[in-house]
Amino acid sequence: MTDQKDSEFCFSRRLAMKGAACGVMAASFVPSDIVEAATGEADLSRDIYPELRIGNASALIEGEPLAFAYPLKQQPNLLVKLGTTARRGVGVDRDIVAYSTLCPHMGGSLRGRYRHDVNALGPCPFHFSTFDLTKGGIPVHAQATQNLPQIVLRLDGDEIVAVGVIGLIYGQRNNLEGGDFAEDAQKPSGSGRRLMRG
Amino acid sequence: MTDKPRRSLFDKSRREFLTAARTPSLDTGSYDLPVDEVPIPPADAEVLPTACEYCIVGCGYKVYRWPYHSEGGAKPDHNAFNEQFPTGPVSGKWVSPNMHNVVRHNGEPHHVVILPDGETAVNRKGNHSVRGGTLGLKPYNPKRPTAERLQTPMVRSRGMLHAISWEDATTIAAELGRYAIDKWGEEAWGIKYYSYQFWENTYALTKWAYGAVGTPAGAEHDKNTAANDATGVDDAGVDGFSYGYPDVMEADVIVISGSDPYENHTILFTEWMAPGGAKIIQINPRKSPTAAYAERTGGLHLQLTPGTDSVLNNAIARYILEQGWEDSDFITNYTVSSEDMMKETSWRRKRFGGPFEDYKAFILSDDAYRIENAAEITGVPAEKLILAAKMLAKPRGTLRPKASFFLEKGNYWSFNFPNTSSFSGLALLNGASGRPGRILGRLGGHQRGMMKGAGYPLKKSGDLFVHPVTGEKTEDKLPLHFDRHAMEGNLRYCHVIGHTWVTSMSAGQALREKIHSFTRGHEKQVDSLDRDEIIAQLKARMDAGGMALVVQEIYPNDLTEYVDLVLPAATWGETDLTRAQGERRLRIYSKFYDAPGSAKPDWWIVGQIATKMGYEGFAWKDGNAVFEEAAARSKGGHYDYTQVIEFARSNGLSGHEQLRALSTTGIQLPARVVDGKLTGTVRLHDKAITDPENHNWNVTKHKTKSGKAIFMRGDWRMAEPIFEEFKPKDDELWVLNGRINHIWQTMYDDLRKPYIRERWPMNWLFINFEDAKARGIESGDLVHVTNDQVRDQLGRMTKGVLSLVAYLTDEVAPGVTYTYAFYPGQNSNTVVPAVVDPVTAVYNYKIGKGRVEKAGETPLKSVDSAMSFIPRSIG
Ligand code: SF4
Ligand code: FES
Repeated sequence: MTDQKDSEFCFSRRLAMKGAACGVMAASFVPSDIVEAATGEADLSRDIYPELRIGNASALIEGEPLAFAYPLKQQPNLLVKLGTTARRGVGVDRDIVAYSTLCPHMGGSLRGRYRHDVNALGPCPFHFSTFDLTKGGIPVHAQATQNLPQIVLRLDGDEIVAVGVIGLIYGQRNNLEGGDFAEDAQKPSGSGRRLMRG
Repeated sequence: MTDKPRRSLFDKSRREFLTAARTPSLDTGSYDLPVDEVPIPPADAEVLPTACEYCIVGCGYKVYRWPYHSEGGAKPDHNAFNEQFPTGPVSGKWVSPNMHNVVRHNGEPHHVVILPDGETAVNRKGNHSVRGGTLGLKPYNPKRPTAERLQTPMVRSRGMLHAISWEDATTIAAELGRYAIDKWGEEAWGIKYYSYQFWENTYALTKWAYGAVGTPAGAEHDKNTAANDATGVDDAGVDGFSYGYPDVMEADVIVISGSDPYENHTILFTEWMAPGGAKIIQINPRKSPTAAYAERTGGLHLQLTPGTDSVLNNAIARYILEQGWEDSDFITNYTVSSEDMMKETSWRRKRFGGPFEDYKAFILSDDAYRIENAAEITGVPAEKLILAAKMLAKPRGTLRPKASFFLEKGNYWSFNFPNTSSFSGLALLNGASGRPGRILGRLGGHQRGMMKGAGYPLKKSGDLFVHPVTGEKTEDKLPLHFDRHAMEGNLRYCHVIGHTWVTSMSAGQALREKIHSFTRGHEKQVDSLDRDEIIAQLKARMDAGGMALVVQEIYPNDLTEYVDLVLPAATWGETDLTRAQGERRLRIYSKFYDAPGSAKPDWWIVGQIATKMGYEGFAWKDGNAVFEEAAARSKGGHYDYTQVIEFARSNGLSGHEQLRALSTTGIQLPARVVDGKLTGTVRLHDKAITDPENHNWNVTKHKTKSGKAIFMRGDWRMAEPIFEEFKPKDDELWVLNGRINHIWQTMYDDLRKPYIRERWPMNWLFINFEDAKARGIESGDLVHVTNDQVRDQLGRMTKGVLSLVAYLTDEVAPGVTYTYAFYPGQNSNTVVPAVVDPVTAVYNYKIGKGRVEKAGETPLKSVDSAMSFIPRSIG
C-alpha cells in the first residue's frame, strides 16, 4: 500500500505535529521519502487501535483543518475545530472532531474540501459526495454506503489523542491491516478500543 | 414526543394495526452500528450475475457467495477479486460493510457480497449509488430488520392474521374472485399491481387480469388508471427509452425537466452525463444537487413556480421560433406533414397533434408564451428564459448545438398532458428524438419490468374525455379511474400485488377511509380458520357491499392493515427473474439464496389462483417457462426478445441460462441474430441505424402510423383553471413531493436499512429560511401541514394533514416546500387533492399545498442525533 499508484492520494506523508508547532500545522508536511521506517509494529496489537497524540486543543484555530495520518501511515485524516458543538466532539465546546479524508464511496480524496460555513466536507471530486462533520460524518448527500469514518478522540489535558475509528476506511477490509502504523502511534495505556468486526 | 401516541383515523382498530415497523423512528442516536472490518470472498467463491433492484439505470452487480466458516485473504491469489487489499481508489473491488450479508443457501448459512460490477457496460469501474451500494442489506436475515419479511400465507380472523396453507390461501382467493365475477361482472374484480417487478411476474398477472378475467378495473402502482406516463412524448411517437447511455455523452446541452439525475438516476449522471461535459439546463422548483451542479458548471437552473412547465417550455419554443432557430432539416425529414396526420387514429393525436406549422401557429397565438408574460407566470427571469433558448438553439457558426431533452415525474406528475406535450414539442423543434446527443426521453423511475400478457380492455371503460376548456363532451374513451371505481363501492374483490395503494395515491386519507370501511371496518368479519367458513363469511361481506382484499407482498405495510388474505412473495435474489433497464438492456437477476419461509414468486401465486378459477395456460413449471412464453408478446415491439429465445435454443440453453451467459451487460432490445451472433439495438428513431437482415422492426422510425414524429400541442390553458383553483392562497405554501437520493420508492427495503434510516429517520419538510422565520420554525422542529382543499376522488372537499420534521434550506424557493412522496406513515399525498389531468386521467401529484405551523421539537434537533440538516444545495 505504500506504493500507492495515484499521486493524488499521497498517503505516506505525515504531519510533523509536535508541541508548539501545532498552530501552524496546516501546511507542514514532511515528504514521504525522509520519513523513517515504521515504529515498532511488534509492540502493537492488530485488533486494538493504537493511540496517537495529534496536537493541543488550545492551539487549534477554528475553521482551519489540520491533516494527520491514523491509524496507519497511509490513512489521511483531518482534525478540525468546527466552532459548533458536534457529535462526538471533544474540548470545552465539544467542537473538535476528526475524520478520514478518503471518500467512503470509491476513495476520492476529500483533502482541502472542508467548508467552514456549513461544517461539511465535500463535494468529493469524483461523484460529489458531501458529509456533515457535526453529525458523525453522515451524508448531506452522497453515494457512499457508510458515513465518513470518524476518528474517535480523547482529550488528555490539552492534548488531543486519536484512539480509534468508527467505520471502515475506504480500501481496507480491516482498518489495521496492510501498512505500518502511523508515526509515533503508541500501544494504548489502558484497555484500548477494539476493531469492530462485521 | 416519542411517547405521544400517533393519532389514528380509526380508533376502533388502532391497537390491532401492525404499525411498529412503519412509524417514524425519531431516533436521537445512531442505531446504525458501523463496523471496521468486513469479510471478503475467498478465491473459490461462487459468482452470480445480477443487476440492481432499484432505479432505471439498472447497474450490473455480481453476487459472491461462499460458506459461512471461511474467508478470503488480502493477497490477490487469496481472494475472488484477484486484488491486493487494501485496494486503491476507484478499484471497483472494495467491499463496504453494507455490501455484505449472511444468507441461507440450500439450507446452510453463506456469506454474500453484492458488489457493483466494473465489467458491465452500465456502471463502468464498479460505480454505484447509495441505493444499489446497500443492496447487501436487502436479503432476508433473521438477525437484521429484514426479519420482518412475510413468510407464510395468512388470513385475518377476529382481527388477527393467522398462518394458513398455500392450498387454502389460493383456493380462498380463487373462489372469492370467481364469485365476484359471476355475480357482479368482471369490473367487480379489481387488480392493482407494480409495473416493474420483473417480466415473469408482470406477464403472468396481466395475462390473468386483462386476458383471462378481462377486467377494466386495473391500474399500475403509480397511477389511478391504466394510462400513459409521459403521454406527450408517447403521442409524439417517441419511445421514452430510445437511447443508450453513450448517446448522452454526445450532447452539448441537456435539458432536464422535473427530475434530479444525480439523485435518481445516479450512474447515468456520474458515469455518463457529467463526464460528457454537456451544459445542463435544470427545470425544477428545487435547487437540488443537479441544479447546484448545473450552476457551478456553466449551466442554468430555471426555478419555476410549480405546475407552470407548459408556459416555460412554450415560451422558450416561441423565442426560438421568433429567431428562426428551429431545426428545419430534422423537421422536414423526421416529422409529420398534414397528410401524414390523416392516417392517425388516436383521438389525442387527432385533437392535439399535427405538423410543425400547426404547432408554430399554436405557440404564436397565445400571449402567455411571450417571454415577459412567461417570466411573470413561471417566476423565472426573462433573461434566463432567453439564455436557455440561446444555449439550445442559437447556431454556432454553421452548426447547431446538440441538445437533448429529458423529463420525469416532476414534469409528468404535474399537469400531465400540457407539460409532457409542450416538452416534446420543444425537443422536436430542436431536432431531438433519438440520435446521439439529440435525445428526447424519459430519465425513468424504476426499470422496464412490464411485459404485458394481455392488453388493457379500454372499450369496457365507461370514462369519457370532456374538453377542459370548451366543456365539449366526447365519446373518446379514458381508462377507468380505479380509485374512484373502488371508492364508489364497485369492487367486491380486490387483488393487490407489491404495492401500498391507499397511502400512495392522491387524497390518500379519503381513499384509506373508504377502503377500510369496505374491509377491516366492515361489520362482516371472519371468525374462523376453516376454509369453507372463511369463504362463506367473506362472500357475506361482499353481498353486503363490502370487499375482500388480497395482497401479495414481501413486508407488512400500510395496506396489509386492511387485508383479509396475505400471500408472501419471493423476490429479487430468491428466484431467477428478468427485466430490462433504461437502455432496453435485458438481463437476468439470479437467485442466490433461499426465500424466507414458504414465500413464492408472484407468477407462481397468480398461476395457482388463476388455475383454480378455471383459466387455462397458467400452470407453468418454472419461471423460465413464463419467460419463454412471454417472448411471443414482445414480438415486433421495442422489447422484442424472440430471437434471444431462438438463439438460446440453438445453443441448447434455456432463456434464463442464455441471459446468465450474457452476464451483467445483457443485450439491448430489440435483439436479432446477425451472422450467427446475438446483436442488440443501441438506439431507436435514428435513420443511421441499419437493419441488415431486414427484420422489419421499425427501430429507425417513430411509433406513429407514418413513422414520423408528431408535434403535440401542450396548452397551458388546460392547466390554468386547475392551477388557479388549487394553488396556495394567503399564508399557504406549495407542498411538493418527490424522490430523494437515499430512498427507493415506498422504502420497503430502506425501512430495513439502518444506514439509510439514520439519514432520514422520518419524513421532512424542506422549507426556505424566509418562510421558516416567518413561522418561527427551526431545523429539527416538528411541523404540521394542513390543507383544507383536498378534493377527493368522489368530489368531496376534505381536509388533509401531515406531520413532518422541518429542514431549513434554500433548496426550495420562498413559497415552496418539499417532502418525500412515500414515507410510510407520513405520506405526503394526504395533502394533495385527487385532481386528474383531463386529457390523460392521471393524478396531479404535485398540486399539494397547505398551512405550515410549528408543532414542537423533535429529538432530531439534538447534536447526538445523526440526521443532518445541512442544505443539500451546497454542491
Ligand atoms: S444508479 Fe440506480 S441502478 Fe445504479 S446502483 Fe444506483 S439505484 Fe442501482
Ligand atoms: S469517490 Fe467520493 S463520491 Fe465517489
